[in-house]
Amino acid sequence: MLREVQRSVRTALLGGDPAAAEALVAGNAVAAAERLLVHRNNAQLSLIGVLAADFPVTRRIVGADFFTAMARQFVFAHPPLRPELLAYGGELPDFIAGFPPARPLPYLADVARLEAAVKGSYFAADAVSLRPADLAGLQDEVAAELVLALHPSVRIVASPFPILTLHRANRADRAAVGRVDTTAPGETVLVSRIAAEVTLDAIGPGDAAFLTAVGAGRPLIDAAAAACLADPAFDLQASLTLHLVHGTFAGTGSRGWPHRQDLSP
Amino acid sequence: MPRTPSRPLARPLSNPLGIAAALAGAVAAAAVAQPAQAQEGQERCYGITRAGENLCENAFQGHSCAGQATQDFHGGDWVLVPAGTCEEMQGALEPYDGINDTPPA
Repeated sequence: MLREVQRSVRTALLGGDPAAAEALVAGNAVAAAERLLVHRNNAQLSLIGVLAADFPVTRRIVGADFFTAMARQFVFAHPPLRPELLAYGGELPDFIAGFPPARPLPYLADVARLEAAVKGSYFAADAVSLRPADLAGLQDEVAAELVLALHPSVRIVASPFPILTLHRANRADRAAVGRVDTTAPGETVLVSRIAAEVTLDAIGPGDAAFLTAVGAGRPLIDAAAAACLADPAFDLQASLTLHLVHGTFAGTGSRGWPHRQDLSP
Repeated sequence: MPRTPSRPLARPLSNPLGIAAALAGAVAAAAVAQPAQAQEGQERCYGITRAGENLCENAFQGHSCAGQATQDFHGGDWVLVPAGTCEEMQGALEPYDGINDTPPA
């Protein structure tokens, strides 16, 4: 009985046929329909509010009206699967990619993907970053086969569009929205929360390939090879220096990791 | 298997010596660089954030997390700042319910 009640109320809240739920509401039928509508509005608006809070840049690009209309469609298509608002909205970027009214803005889904990464990074586990001294004095073979772990907050978002420039130009705290050339070269963004705040940094294709390989558990020698394939000008020492200073690495993996994997497809 | 880069590298990255040299160089360079993370030596500073710029929860307005502050310079919203600089910026080290009437410029 409880399950049927929950199912019928859920149907009514998410835009379906409210008849079954109306029959369950005590009092006369007209009042029941109106009261359910109030509840339905509240449920939808709270979910739309979560999306607006988590995707402020996306919202600013399309405007509040477009965003709210799109978010409402998203709520119908993707009702919450877990009783946690924190976990809600992860599918919005893919939804935007397939949302016909957003087609004139082909970069919008990737901007939303970047915002989802920012949220994921913010709520990721804490970890103490490796200090340079932790990696000092390694023998040559040990250094080559070293497996590094990325800080749990590290996310990499690659796009054929200038998503970081778009993100910076449309942050909620910027008064004036500068013009962005959306045909500019694509950007790959390293998202991380090493100290208290999430930071966004543009990285090159070599660095992105390097971190992706490191994140997949590849030893340094293989990660460096992957980076050189992506960008022949990749400079391993410069990249390692940057990431040791930034705090991108949070530990070393086991020496027994399978190494010298074939990187070709 | 296309492991060979299309042009010669200054430092060969396909052998252990090149990797070890790069790592040793990076360790030396990073050791003298200013570390980006400074979790020690920071303090929570209340009342100096603009709407949407706060870090975590506000005890008075009921929002629970980063970026959700809806008012400028509310005494319940905080950011992390270098220790010792909060009061210089007209902030407070303890939360309070109200708006900072002497906000930072």
